Amino acid sequence: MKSPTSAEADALTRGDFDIERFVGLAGNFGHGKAVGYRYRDHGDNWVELELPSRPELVGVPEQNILASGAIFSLVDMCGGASVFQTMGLFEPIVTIDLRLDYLRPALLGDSVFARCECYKMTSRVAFVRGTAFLDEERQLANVTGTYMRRP
Amino acid sequence: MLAIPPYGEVLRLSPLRDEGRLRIHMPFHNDVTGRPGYLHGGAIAGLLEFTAFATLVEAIGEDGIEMKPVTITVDYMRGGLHVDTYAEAHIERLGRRIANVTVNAWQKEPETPIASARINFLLSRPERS
Repeated sequence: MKSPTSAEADALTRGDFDIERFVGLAGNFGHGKAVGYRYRDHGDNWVELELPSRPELVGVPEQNILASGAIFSLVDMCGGASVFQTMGLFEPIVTIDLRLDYLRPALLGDSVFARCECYKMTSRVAFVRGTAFLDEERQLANVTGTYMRRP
Repeated sequence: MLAIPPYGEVLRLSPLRDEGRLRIHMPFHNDVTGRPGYLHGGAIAGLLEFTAFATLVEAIGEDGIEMKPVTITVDYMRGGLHVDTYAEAHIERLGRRIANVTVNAWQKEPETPIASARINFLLSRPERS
């Protein structure tokens, strides 16, 4: 599949709001494509993404542990997507800070899911919390973040 | 010799030395780009995390000690531009069970970081016999 150009990505952010389409594009462009996340689901103020396991994502080869950096990347995208979803429009945002508490490692072969919700929105700052998990019983990481609107 | 894991290869990380200090280099390339004109925050976090990990491996210098990141907090200070990025870590405290590490990433000069992280690692040392 052809990767979208910067101009196409720019055009999308001016079009009708569609979080699934946006995540699909971000996941087929630059670092999003290299990591390879996918849209799963969304609600009024939350978005769920999936990171299918791939050998390229391994961070500790001796134990086949997925790189925590790849999970961080998934969560950063997911948190940002939850802010767009809550705003209902695409306006520029940047991550101010993002904290992950790693509860357990993910292994090669595990599909990693992330669900983030924007639980508070002010005129300048969006507050996000979320989780990365394998399934309902196995949480990988707890997530807290803030994003700035119109940087 | 420092081994670069597969995810580090995706980011194309490589070690450099500055007066003996370990510095990690991430060249600008398409796989680290985010929104148009900028680097992806996740790629910057990956650079920070690997730099902290590699610096800790060098400082501990013993085989058989596992290092697991427990918490990571990344502050994004400036947009990462489409140029090369560098990172260096500083070990604030190296205990028997916990290591507290700070790490900065910059592009133009170290005094103007684009991002900074604090990472706390849990160390699992082999049982003493």
